[in-house]
Amino acid sequence: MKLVVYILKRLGLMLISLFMIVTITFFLMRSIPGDPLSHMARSLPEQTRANFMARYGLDQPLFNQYLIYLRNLAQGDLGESLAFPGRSVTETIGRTSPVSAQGGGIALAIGLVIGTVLGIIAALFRNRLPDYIVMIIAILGVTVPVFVIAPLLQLVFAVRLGWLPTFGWGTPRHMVMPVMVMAFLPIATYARYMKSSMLDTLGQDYILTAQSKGVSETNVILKHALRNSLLPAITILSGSIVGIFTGAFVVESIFSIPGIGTHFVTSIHNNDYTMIMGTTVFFAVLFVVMQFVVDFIYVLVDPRIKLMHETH
Amino acid sequence: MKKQRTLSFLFVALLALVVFAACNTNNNDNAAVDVPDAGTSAQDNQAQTNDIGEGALDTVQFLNLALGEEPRSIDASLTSEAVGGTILTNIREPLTRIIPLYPESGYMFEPAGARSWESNADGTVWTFHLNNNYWEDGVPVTAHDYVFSMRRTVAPETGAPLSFMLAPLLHFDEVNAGELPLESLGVRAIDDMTLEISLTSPVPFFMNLTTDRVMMPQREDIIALHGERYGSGGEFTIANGPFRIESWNQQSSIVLVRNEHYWDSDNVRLDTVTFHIMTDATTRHHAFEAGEIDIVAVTTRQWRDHFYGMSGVIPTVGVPTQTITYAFFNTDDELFQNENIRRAFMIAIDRVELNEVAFDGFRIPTYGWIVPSISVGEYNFREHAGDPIRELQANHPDPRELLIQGMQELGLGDDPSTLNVTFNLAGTDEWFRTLGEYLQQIYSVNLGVNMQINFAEWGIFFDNVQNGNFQIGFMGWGAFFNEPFDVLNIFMSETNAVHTGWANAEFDELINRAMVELDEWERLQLYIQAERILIYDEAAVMPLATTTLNSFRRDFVRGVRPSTFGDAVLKYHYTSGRP
Amino acid sequence: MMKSDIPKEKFEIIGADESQQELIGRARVSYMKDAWRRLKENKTAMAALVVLCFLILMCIIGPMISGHSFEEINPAHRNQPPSSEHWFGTDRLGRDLFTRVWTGGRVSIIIGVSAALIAAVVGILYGGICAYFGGMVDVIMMRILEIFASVPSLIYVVIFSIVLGNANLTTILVALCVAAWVGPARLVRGQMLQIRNQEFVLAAQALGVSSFKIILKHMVPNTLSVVIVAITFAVPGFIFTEAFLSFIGLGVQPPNTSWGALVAMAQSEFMFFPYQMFFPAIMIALTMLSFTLFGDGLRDALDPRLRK
Repeated sequence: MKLVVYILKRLGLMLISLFMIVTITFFLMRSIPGDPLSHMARSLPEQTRANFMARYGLDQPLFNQYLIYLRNLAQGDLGESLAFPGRSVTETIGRTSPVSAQGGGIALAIGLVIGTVLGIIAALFRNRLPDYIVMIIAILGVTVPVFVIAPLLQLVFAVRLGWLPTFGWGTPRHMVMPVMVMAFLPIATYARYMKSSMLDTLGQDYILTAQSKGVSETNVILKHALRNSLLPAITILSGSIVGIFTGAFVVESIFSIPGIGTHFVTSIHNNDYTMIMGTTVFFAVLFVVMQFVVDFIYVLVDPRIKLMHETH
Repeated sequence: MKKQRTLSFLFVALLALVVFAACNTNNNDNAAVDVPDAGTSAQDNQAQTNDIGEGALDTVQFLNLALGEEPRSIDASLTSEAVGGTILTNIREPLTRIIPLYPESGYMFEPAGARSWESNADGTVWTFHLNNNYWEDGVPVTAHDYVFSMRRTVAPETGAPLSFMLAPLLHFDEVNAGELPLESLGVRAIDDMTLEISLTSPVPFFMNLTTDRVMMPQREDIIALHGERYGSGGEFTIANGPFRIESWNQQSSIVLVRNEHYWDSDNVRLDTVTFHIMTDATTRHHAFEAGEIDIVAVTTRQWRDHFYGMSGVIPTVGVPTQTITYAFFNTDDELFQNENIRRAFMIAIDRVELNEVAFDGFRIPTYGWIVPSISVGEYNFREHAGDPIRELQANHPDPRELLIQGMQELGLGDDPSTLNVTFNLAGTDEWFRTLGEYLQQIYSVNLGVNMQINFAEWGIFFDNVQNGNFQIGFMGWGAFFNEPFDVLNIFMSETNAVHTGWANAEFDELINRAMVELDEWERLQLYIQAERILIYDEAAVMPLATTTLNSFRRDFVRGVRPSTFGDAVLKYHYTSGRP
Repeated sequence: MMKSDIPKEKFEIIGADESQQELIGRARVSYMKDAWRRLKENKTAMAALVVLCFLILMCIIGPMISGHSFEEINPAHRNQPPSSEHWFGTDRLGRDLFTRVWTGGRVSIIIGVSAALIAAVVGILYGGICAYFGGMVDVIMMRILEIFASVPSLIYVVIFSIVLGNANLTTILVALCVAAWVGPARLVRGQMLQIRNQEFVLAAQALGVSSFKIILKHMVPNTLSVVIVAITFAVPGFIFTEAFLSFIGLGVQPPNTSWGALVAMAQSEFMFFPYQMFFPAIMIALTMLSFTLFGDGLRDALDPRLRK
């Protein structure tokens, strides 16, 4: 019963949050300078202009536009792209996000595994050589901008060695380079996070107890420390998932991947209000839902957290 | 093959690149469209002419090309971009196609949608006899499809950005303004296979229009079927050209395959053409080097030299276009209302250095509004008109003096460092950054003014320009055909197409006289006087350079017809010896 | 189960001296002094600090010692490799890269540090108010915070960069900070909720100290250590985000430059002029590395649990 109340409460809050986000984004986007018709690059006759504006509801007072937007949104309709006439924003997101999710998901999984392993190694060999090596790898991974690594990889693996295609999407071979680039960030994040989480756990009394009880070092690490250090890592998962989508902005553009990142960057360049708004709303929904799911899993998994505290 | 030489008055129809393409694509080299070689340089003419029709064909015929951006639409009435045109010219058949004559110079129109054509004595009524062509679904192409297409483009509710291309048609103005019904437009189907186009008055360059997208046929039932989605994707259009769209994967690729129903399908040798949509220039270059695309446009000296050093690659470099790169003043601005100030800003730039530094030596420094390749009849315009900007620079070695003179005329004192000027650029990438930083530095050194550069995306830039919310802007303008009128009439008082706010009665008068002057030499003189007012006296606009086309292709890509047109049709391309 | 086999000789009876029981083992050391002492012992953190100081020093004096101005164009010296004349080479406009790298560094570091500071200050105030007042105030303010937190911050940065138009230092800072205060605010609130329930706050309240003063004098200093660590970790993030903005054309505008802008500018031709990208890229990497390592050290030093 407590659980149901908790879920309902969280769902309600999620809706309020989303409503506020949509409202803020809507009015922000409308305040951007620039003419949505400018891509037509020609002074259109008044009538044509008016027709066009009417088609997108841009002739209505701002508040009415807002209400229309909300109404359509409730039906899952994010409007029609301004820059690509005839394209539905909802469909475009529906088509592009799985591509990003696929590449990003693999990158995240790889990053999680490698990052966790590296983090554990660093923690166990704290202040010794392996620790330093891991931390330098982890930090270098995030210190070199993606738009530097990506063309470098292209040059080496595609142009010089000819092993991989330079651009595109679809086959596993296409995925190797973008996934490599995208995995750098989660590797670094999780390596650092796991290291400190592991150190934290290793300092806990129950580990000392286990050790003093004579549990073998391997057992201590696997059965006690690892499990308890992995738990907090779940909390940063929601952030990582969205990070995968936003990190794709640059990677997808460089590798010509038809994902949501490429679309978002293109919409910015095209002044495509409806597309920018739609994508923002999509990201917000994704993020809010992810946070909810992650919190929920966390509550289920970690016996120490009581629902009463969580809802406080 | 029916050949028809163009009338002596006009000639070469030029880049069918329209205004938008000119400002947006040509200006921003990073968004350059990698279309198959639209031209050829002197040194490889020979190779290319030999190239046609020779070499054993590869058994599998395909090409991989790059598109710098995704077409917003391939609705022939709604798209005005170069990329949209690249796809359209391959999937639709205009009335005629233009091809160059070799080895002699000159051009001809070859049959395409029309198998033959004639006009009445004064050239106001043109009759086209259509080929037996079919849409990809097997439906015959009829004259009604052409009529429907032109009416749709002109109809006011369509809002076609290129409707003005059809302005020579009878009653265009009234129909476009909604004052007369669509049926009054000067185009009709005499029968299924005969199309008649009536013009308001004889237009020397009329035949050039028959190659353009505005004269491509459209299917009424298909448009009705798809409604607002028409032209937004591969499944929402229909082909009657050499190719049809096999698939259009948004932001990824557009795959064309041979259209079996096309009337000249036997002469189309490519089975598949894949346009990869690649926005990153470095990626395009890498992909060409790795052999993943067969033709690439280059925009920097380093890449050009790099590809020169590659074996198995044929360059097509430095082909001049008819697009001018220029800056323009807002003459309603407090400061730039003064012509001496405008002149000072115009001559303060060393065009050779600008070209070297900001354009990487890829353009042709230009000292007048008319680009070097444009002529009036047999008279090359630039040769006869001289270089007004050079002359002004010679007469005013120190632009600062002109600036101070102008400042005093406005009562602004004599200290240029008190002036704050904003230069607007329509782009934010490193190409525009380099240009902006160069301009900023040059103006602060040569004129001593404080120059701000405002980088904005095209939409914001254009909005500012349209609303007169700018001081100096930077754009490109492409000529449609080879006649100075085409690029001078846009400065007439009522047009204001360049958004300078500039108006000059004497200039208007000269252009109006030139329009009806039949003697080429006389007309040339009128144009020269008009350009002189525009540039030397008034400096309403600041020409900088003429753009060029630069691309490389793999040597197994054959059948590339040398031409200086923007028409990127792949009808005759084939590969021979693809590894 | 294994039996314990800790050898007996590890244990030794040392006896107990009752007279020494009340003795304070060492001189009273303030928290900050103690932290600094521990920081000094951390060689990695100190090395990072030295590198940081060096970078900052070079950003201050670097542009002055090369003899070139960062915006001076020299068409005759374009794209030159490093030489005795131009230590880092020149860019495509013939400008001296050594000067530009340090000038850009000023912008990058200023953006990174000020964004982190602004975010921290706003975060402290916001989180402080939430934690101190609690109840409805807390609920409402946390709801607002969640709204900000529910859109990935990069999206905010991009949208605000567009809305604010032509970018300069201020607009970039505003865009970066729109959502950046959320993290510190949460952190501070959590930390303060712990502190609020401690006796010294109750004592202050009982003595009639005003709410504002309690937040400022008692709660802020006690949360400061957490916040300082957060700032150190945030700086490289902001430097990186600015680089991203530069890459998509929304970063600092000329004549100003930043490390991100320099790298973005060099990216398309790095094959031909690798040094143009190498120097600014290595500066970004060094800065981020140093801030992160220093932050690690700082966290350990400020952790009261590790206090000896």
